[in-house]
Amino acid sequence: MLGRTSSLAMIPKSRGIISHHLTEQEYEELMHKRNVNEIGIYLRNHPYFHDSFVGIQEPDIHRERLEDLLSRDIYYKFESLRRYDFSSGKFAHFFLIDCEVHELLHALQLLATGGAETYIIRLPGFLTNQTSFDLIGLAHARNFTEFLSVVRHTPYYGLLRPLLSDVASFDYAACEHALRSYYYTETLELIDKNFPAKERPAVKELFTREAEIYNLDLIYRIKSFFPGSYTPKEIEELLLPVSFEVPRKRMLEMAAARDLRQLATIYKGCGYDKDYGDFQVESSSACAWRQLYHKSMHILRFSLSPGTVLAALLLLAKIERSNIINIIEGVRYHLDPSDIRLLLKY
Amino acid sequence: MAIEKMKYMNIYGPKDSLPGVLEVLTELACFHPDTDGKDEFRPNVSDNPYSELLHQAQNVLADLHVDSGETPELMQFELQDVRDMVDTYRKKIDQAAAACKDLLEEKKLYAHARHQLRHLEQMDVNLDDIFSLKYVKVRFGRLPKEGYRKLPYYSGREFSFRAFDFDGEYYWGFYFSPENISKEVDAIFASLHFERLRVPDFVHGTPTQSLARIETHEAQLNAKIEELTTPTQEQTRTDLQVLQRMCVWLDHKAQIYNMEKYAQVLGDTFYLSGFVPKVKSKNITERLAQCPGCKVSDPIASADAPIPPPTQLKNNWFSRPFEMYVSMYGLPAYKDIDPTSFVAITYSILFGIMFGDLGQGLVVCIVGWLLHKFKKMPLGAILQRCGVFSMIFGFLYGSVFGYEELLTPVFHAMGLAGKPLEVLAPESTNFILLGSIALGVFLILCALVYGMISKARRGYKGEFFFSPNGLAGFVFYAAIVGGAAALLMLNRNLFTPIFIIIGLVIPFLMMYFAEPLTHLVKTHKLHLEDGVGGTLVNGFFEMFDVLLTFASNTMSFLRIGGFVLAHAGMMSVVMTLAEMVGAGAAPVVVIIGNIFVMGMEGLIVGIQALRLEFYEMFSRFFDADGTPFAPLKLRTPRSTGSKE
Repeated sequence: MLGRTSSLAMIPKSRGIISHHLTEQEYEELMHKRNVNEIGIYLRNHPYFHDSFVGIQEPDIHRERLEDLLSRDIYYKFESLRRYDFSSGKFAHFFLIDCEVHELLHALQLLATGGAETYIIRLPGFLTNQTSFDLIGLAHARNFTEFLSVVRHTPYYGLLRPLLSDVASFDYAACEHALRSYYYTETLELIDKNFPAKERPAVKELFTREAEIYNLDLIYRIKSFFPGSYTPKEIEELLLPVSFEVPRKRMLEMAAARDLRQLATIYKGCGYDKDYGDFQVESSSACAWRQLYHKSMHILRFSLSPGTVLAALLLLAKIERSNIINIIEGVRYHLDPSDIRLLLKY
Repeated sequence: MAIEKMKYMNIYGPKDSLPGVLEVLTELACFHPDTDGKDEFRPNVSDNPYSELLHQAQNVLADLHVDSGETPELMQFELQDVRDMVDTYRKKIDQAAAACKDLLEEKKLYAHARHQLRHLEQMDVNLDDIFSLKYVKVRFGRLPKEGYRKLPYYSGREFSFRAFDFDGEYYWGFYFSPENISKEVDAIFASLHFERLRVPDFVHGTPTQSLARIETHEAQLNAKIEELTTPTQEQTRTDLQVLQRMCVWLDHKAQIYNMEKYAQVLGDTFYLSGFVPKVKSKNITERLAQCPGCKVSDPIASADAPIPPPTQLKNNWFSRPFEMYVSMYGLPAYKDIDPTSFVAITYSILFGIMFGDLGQGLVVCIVGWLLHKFKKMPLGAILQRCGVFSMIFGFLYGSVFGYEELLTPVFHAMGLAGKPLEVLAPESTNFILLGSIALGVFLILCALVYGMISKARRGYKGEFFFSPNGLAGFVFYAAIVGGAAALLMLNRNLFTPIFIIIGLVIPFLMMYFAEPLTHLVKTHKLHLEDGVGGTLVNGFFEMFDVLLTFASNTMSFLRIGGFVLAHAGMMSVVMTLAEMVGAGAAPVVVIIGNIFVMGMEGLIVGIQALRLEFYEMFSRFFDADGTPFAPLKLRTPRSTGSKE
């Protein structure tokens, strides 16, 4: 990946970007804001988000606008680094695949719940002309047939056609599984194609850990909030086909756990809490993401591989966005800062 | 090489005479007040009536944008007249400010409208026509670029967005929709985060025409604001000149008032004590005698003063500029010796040795003269003296701007075979380095002598005899250095048992037990503060430090030789480069090279010489615990100041 010397410019640039990231102190300040508008004003004046919030002079910044600006911020960071990617296979393309998957899932969700006409409101304008399918066309789709016609000339067509052929048997979870599996598989292929052998393990670790946390998160949520709703087989079908720390066999064992307590026994018995934290203590899966946050930060600071640094930066930016959205929701619903803090991943 | 002799003086009189007395003392600028004594008898000067009024007056001048210009001379006023004048103008300014406030609000509105209309300059349509449409709703504002990109989604809908400007983030323009669906269209644009902006009522015509009108109106507003805030009438200008003079008077009185804190007041009488230079005490007494009711006691010798006198250095023309260096380190106590002359001579010599070049020394002299004459910098005067010594040593080295052979005919005419000292010759290196050490030893011994004199003058008997910087240290150091020099250079062994005992052992033991011996001399009692064991251990470590310090201080002077060689080496490089570039460019290389070497070497040598003074010499004898002589004097009164 990024074989040309000029790609190395990505490393100091990424480190320069992350040097302004939100600190623990700043997260605390955000948690103590009284409303979304104050959070928006705070972020507007923060150097990490300056590029995305420049020109914003609204007296009232709404939640949706704020979330859109945060998404745009990640894209702007990606854009500022993408220009240094001269690789033949374009490793940086993984980010756009992730965005496309996200949009497709969002559109599918709205289609399934009868709210397809509202997709245009949250459609990210900065992604128009960047995706492999027409986003405006996707916003026009009112049924699965029209949906499929938008993605006809993309790999997503082959993935989703079998799942969208019958409206009655529509399974959102299956679609999500198909698309996310595609994303991780494609990304790992891009890594194999663009990275020298000695750089691959570090960058693969980021993605496989992310996928693994997704799987653990999924199992945790099912056992916490939907106990007995899914059979082990059904859970297995929802799991992503990647693993890093946790072998497939163990993951299936956890999927087959009767309840949260048995899950914790298997989980801690195998020592995974050392890598991913103890969700029983924190009452959430945020602890696993927290570990990944620190791992990404470490890689970003010390890695000499431009592509790996890029991947780490974007992962951190996503985690940061998730943190801020959690804070926004917490402030909106007047949660105590100590409760909000449990949900944050840093 | 002296410290100004001081006399202690007591002044007393009626309380009302105190300001007059302070006026005289500040005019003479040679009275250092005694600030010891009980504070409860000192007047409270925190409620200075002149300061507050001065700030008000200065604020008035600042609000009216009066330039400070030249400070007017001091005139006398009555406090009430000043107060009245300030109040009058304060009221006028407040009235003008109230009138200005409305104008500024209006100006802000017009500026906002101008900013908006700038984005519509390309539109050549009358805005009145647009906003008066009956069946079409028009909205003006800005649409974020992300929202703009979503507009194709609504391509079949009955509205239109026309952009006239894009500023990188927003598209500025209008959208039009039929009135019957305007609410729906408004909702669509709200979802696209369109920010609606309201065009003020005073905007008419095309944007270009409106902008022109707005700019004209803004100019009129500015003129009105200017008229209200800047005095134009002749009477006002005259009054303000008087106000400036009043400020000068207020500043003067405020300073005098603040100085009353130095006096003590008991009943209706004030008492003011302090030090004056002995040579001026008669003049002060005569001047103060003219103050009504004021009496001055006979000045007493500073030795009998209740507090230690302050120090004012008094040196001859050669040494005076070096007072700056001494003051940087500190001031000697009143009874101590003034090291300024010692610094003047040693610093100049050290500088001259390390920066020896006849031509460069001359340049340093000239630069120093210019700095001293036009910029009044004491450093300029120092450079003049250093430049002379550089020239002297430059002559000895036979170097003129790096040319080593220019002075050879002069030496031949003097009957010499060549230069007195060929710096770059290998056989001279040892001489230079050893000479540096020898010079260092000499200077350290001089510093030790100074230390002994200082201790003797201050009555520190114990330190005089037993301190490493006293007699014991002097004898010890001189014996070691003398014995080593005799052995190495004259091949004579002075280290006989008698020599060792008298020169080394006894002084060593005196230094080792300096603390208890000093105590014995002071109190006639032998007392070991830390016990026998503690004294022995402490003594061991202290003597280790003393010996190490003697060695390191001595070796430190090697840098003198190092810089002599470095200077010559650098000029040699310059000359080599000049030869390499050929005859045409050689003068340029020589000039630039000399400038570079003078600048860099001059700075380094100046700092190194100062370092040797402070660290190797001052540390041996200079306690720098003197109080500076700070006479009462007024700073130049100001007519304007910072606005509060």
